[in-house]
Parts: sequence; structure tokens; C-alpha cells
Amino acid sequence: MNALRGPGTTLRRRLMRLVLLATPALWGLSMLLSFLIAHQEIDELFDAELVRVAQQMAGALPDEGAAAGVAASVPLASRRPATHDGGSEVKDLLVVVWDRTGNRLPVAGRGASLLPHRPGLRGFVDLELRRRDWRAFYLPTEGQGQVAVAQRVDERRELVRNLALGPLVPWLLALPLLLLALALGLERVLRPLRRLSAELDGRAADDLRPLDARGLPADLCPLVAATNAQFARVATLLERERRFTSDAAHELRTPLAVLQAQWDAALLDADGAPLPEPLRKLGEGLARMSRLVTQLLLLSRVEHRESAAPRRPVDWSALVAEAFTDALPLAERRGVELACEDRVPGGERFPLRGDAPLLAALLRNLLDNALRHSPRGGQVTLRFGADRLEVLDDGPGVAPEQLGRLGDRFYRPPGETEPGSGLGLSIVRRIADWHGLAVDWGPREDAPGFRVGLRRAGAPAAATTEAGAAVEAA
Amino acid sequence: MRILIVEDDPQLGEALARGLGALGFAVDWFGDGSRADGALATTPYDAIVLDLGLPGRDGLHWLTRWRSGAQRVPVLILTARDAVEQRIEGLDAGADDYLVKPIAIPELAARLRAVLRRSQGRPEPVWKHGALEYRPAAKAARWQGTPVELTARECALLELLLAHPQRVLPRGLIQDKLYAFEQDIESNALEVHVHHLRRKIHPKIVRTVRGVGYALGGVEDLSA
Repeated sequence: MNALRGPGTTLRRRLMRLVLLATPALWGLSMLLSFLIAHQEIDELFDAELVRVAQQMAGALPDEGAAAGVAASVPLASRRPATHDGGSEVKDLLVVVWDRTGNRLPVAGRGASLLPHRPGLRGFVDLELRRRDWRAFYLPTEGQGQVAVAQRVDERRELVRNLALGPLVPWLLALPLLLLALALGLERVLRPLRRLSAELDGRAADDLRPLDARGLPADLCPLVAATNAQFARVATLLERERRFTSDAAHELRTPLAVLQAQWDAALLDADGAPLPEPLRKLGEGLARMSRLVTQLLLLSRVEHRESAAPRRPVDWSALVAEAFTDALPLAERRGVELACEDRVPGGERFPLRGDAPLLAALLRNLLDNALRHSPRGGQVTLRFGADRLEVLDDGPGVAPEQLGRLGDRFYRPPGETEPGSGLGLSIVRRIADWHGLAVDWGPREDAPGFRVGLRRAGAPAAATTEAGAAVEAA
Repeated sequence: MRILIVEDDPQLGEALARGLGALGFAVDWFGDGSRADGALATTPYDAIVLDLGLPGRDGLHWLTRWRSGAQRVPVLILTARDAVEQRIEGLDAGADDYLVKPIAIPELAARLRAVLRRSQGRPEPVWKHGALEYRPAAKAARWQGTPVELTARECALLELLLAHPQRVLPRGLIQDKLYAFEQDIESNALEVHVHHLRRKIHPKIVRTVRGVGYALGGVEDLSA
């Protein structure tokens, strides 16, 4: 579900990149094309202008003799191309008229002497005069004289460029606005997608409620429908697995009860006679098996807990009495003292709303773990603060390299003397998680020993636990 | 003490009957509810150990029926159904205790005794805890056969502990039971009574659970 949000490959970014790169590229290409076309056409227009001026000149010369007079009567200022203004254009037109004998008539001003006479030539010629490029049009007159009209190429080019670029300016100005509009539009169009991904992202792993397709664009609906169908399949699968685990553990209880009862009855029949070693080990194995099944069942229950279970204000003293009652036999067997402490005497113990049986199971598991790791004559303390609770023991603790693995299912640090299931902390974590609590553990700060703490997720950890392994409930 | 066991698993029923028998209970064991019901009508039992998953009508059906028929005999449910809701359902139907399989027979026996001690009908006449004997009717205690002089308060405290032999009782709960209608209780009054019980009976007869309350000392500790 991170595919829509992760760096690099988000749909939104890809779409944005595509649009924001392709649009200016296409824009540039079409501008270039329209510039080239305009360039071409304006170029042709200038050529046409040269032809027109030349034809007018030639037409205005009735015969060779009167040429001078006529030429003088054609004011060059009126020869400007009709569509454009700018005196420079005409100023730079060079008009030369030759008579039949090749004498140049003084029609245009300076520079006219530069244009070579090309008797009989009709058409365009590119010339270089005084190290500048010119474009000239030669036209023979009816009296066999010749007219030539020429224009400097560089100036024409500048004109053409200016004329062709002019219309592009508004387009250029519009481009950033278009891009902005596109970006905003994309953002808006993709909002439902982001809402969807945010919803999926914010979900707990076991939240398999169908996604809400209302208000989503029609093309997203198949995706949502497919996702919901998948959710339903996963939910069925989970339910089946949950039922299997539950049934299996339940079905295991009866044969275990038979074994346990037969074992106890045999022991009672023996009437206190010391047991042979293999039989004693059998008894221990049985106890361990019972415990494992009980823990497995509890874990399966808490892992598939509906989040809608009731949450009531927690009466810690009743829960503590219950958990201590359950822990007492082990404490007695191991010769460890159990105690409960209030860090803030008189203040309320860690106010919390929750599920009492689950919290009792949590306390039971914490105490059980601590008891299993306390030396004979040691003490296990359940300590309440205003915003946390901790279980402390004075056992050897856990080697730093094993701290990280402690919450793993079935993990038991090497060298454990009391057989445990290795599920206790997983159960604790899951129940804590379900109550919005974070679990952390590490060496205790006030004395040698080990501590496991619970606090509201997001509340600061105990002062020295940052150095140890502070593990947020997943 | 006569106990009725209703358990359809033959191996389990047989072992429970044999084990509890070895612990001094007189046990009748039946594999289904209707035969147990018939036995209950004719025999005065002190307590019933009832499985829930029985062939035909299940255990809850029989329990409900007995309770509605004013049958007050203490019932202890012993089942593989361990969900909280099932436990609540069982207790609501009138069970005195709810135990989940598997359970050690000595534990079952202890729970049976506790249930018997708390029962309204015919409480166990002599409560034994190691070398301690207590007769609730006479409020008389004996330690290793020797009578122990106890005040009314000390008796009440001992009785409370013996009625919940395997529980840690919160201070508040004990005080409520001992000083039900009194106003000014000295804050250390309870400690004084505990101290007296320890002095008169055995140092380990009462176990202090610091920060929570008190529990009856274990039988193993008392023999030392």
C-alpha cells in the first residue's frame, strides 16, 4: 500500500513528471514549427515585395528616355510592404534602374553603384556587397533596360525573426500558467487515490473492513472492489486459521487433562513415594505441555481479538490480586517474594480503560516471566506510576545481544532453567498493543535486575531505557 | 465428603475419581447428565464437578435446571471451554467456580474444599490446612491437635483466609469483611490481627503480599 506514497515511483509523481515534461516539450516543438512556418512565409512575403517593387519600377518606365523622371517620381517611402511598418525596411531597399545601354539611372541613393548590372537576368540573386549579404531581384524592362531591387539579408533576417517571434510571446507567457493549472488539476484528480492510500496505510494489519467506494471516480471502483474481495478472502482465511488454532488447542485440552489426571492419580496412588527420575521428567514435560497449550490458546485469542471488545475503567487492585493469586504458587515454589508498589502513593494507579481479563493475563505473564528469572530469595515487584507500570526482578537479566529477540514467539534465551513457552512477551505485547500501550524492557536502573515496562504509546520511555532496548509494540 | 463427577471422557472421569478418592473424597462418577441428575435426586452430595461438553444436553443445561429447582449443592465447572464469555456464562448460570482443563488433581481438590467452605448449605464441618484444624460452627481452631485461643476478629480473619485458601486477598476486601459496620478502624488493626495469628499458630500461617494484601500460607511452608 506504500506504492502510492513511497519515494520515486508514485503514480502521482510519474504522472506529474510526464505532464510537466511533455507539455513544455510539445509546446516548444509546436512553437518552433510555427516559428519556422512564419519565418518561411514572411521570407516569401519579402521576396514578393522585392518582385512587386521591381515590377512597379519597371511598369513606371514608359521608355528609356523618361526613366530618370519616372524614377524620381516614385517615392521610395510608398514602396514599403503594406503589411508591416518600420522605415528601416524601405530605407534598406536598394533600387537600381539601368537603361538599354547599361547606364544606371540615379533612382536610389548610396550604395546603388554596388549592384552589378546583369543584362537579361530575371530572378533572385544572392550577392555579397561590401562584405554583407544581399538578396536582389532582377527584372528586365520592356525597353530592354533592367530593374534590380535588393535588400540586406541580415536586416531582413532580423525583421523576419521579430515578426515571426512576436505572436509567440503570449504563448510563452501562457506556458507557466498552463503548467500550474495542470499541476493543480492533477493534484485534485488524484486526491481520491491519495485518500484511499492514506486509509489503507493507516489501517491495522488485521483491519479487514471493506474500503468505502463512495465518492470515488468510476475507474477506481474496480480496484476498490477487487481489494475488498481480497480483504474478504483474507478475512475468511484468518477466521479459518483462528478457528483451527482455537479448535486445536481446545481439542488438545481434553487429552492433556486425561494425561494430567492419570498422572496425578498415579502419584496419589504412590502415596508420596519418591519417583524414579524418568517419571519425574515425564511429569515436568506434562506441566510444560499444559502451559504451552494454554499460552498458545491465549495468544491465538489475543491475536484475533475483535477491536470492538468492551473497554471499561480498569480496577487495578482487583486485577493485581487476581494476577498475584495466579503467580503465588510459582513464587512459592521458587522462593521468590511478590510485591506491589505505588510510585505515587495516594495517586491513581495508571488510569486506563481496557479489557480486564486481558489485562489480568498480561500481568500474569509479566509476573510469570519475572518469577522464572528471579533467584531464590529474590523479589519480583509490580510497580505502578501515574502513567506506567513496570515489573522488576533481581535476576541476572538478559544479555544485550538477546534483548532484541525477546519479543519473538517461542524465543527463549539460552540458559533458562524454568521451562517457559517463549510466548509470554508476545502475548504481553499483543495485549499492550491492543490497549494502545508500548512495551519496553532492559536492565533496571535502580538496582541490578531486569525490568519490563508498559506505558502509553507515545509517552516518553523511562529515563535510562533508551540506552537499553526500547521496543515499541509493533 | 461425597462428590458427584459428571464427565463424559472415560479416561478423565476414571482418573479424577481415582485421584480424588485417594485424597479422601467419596466419588460417584457419571458419563452423562441425565444419570447424574437421577443420582443427585437420591443421594445427598456435598459438591458436583461438572463438565460442560456432555453428550445430549450439555452441562449448562443441567446446571440451570438444578439451580432453578432450588438445588443449592456447590457446582464446580471443569471444562475445556476457556473463553472469558463462557466463564461468565457458567458463573452466571450458578456455578461456584469455573476451572479450565487440564488441572492438577490436588488443585481441583483444593478448589473443591474452598467451594465447600464457602457454600451456604452444608459447610464442611472441619476445615483442614496442614496441621491446622478449624471448626467453623464452633469457631474453634487447633494447631497440631492443641486448641488455639483466638479472638472473634482473629477467627473471622482465619476463616476468611481458609475459605479462599489459594487467593491473595486485597487488604480492602479483608477490612470490608472484618469491620463491616465499623467507622474508625485503626490503620494497623489488620496488621495486629495478622501478627497475633502468626504468633498463636505459625509464623507462616499468613503470607504478606506487600502492596496487595494477605494470603493463607502454603501447606508445605507450615510443615517446616
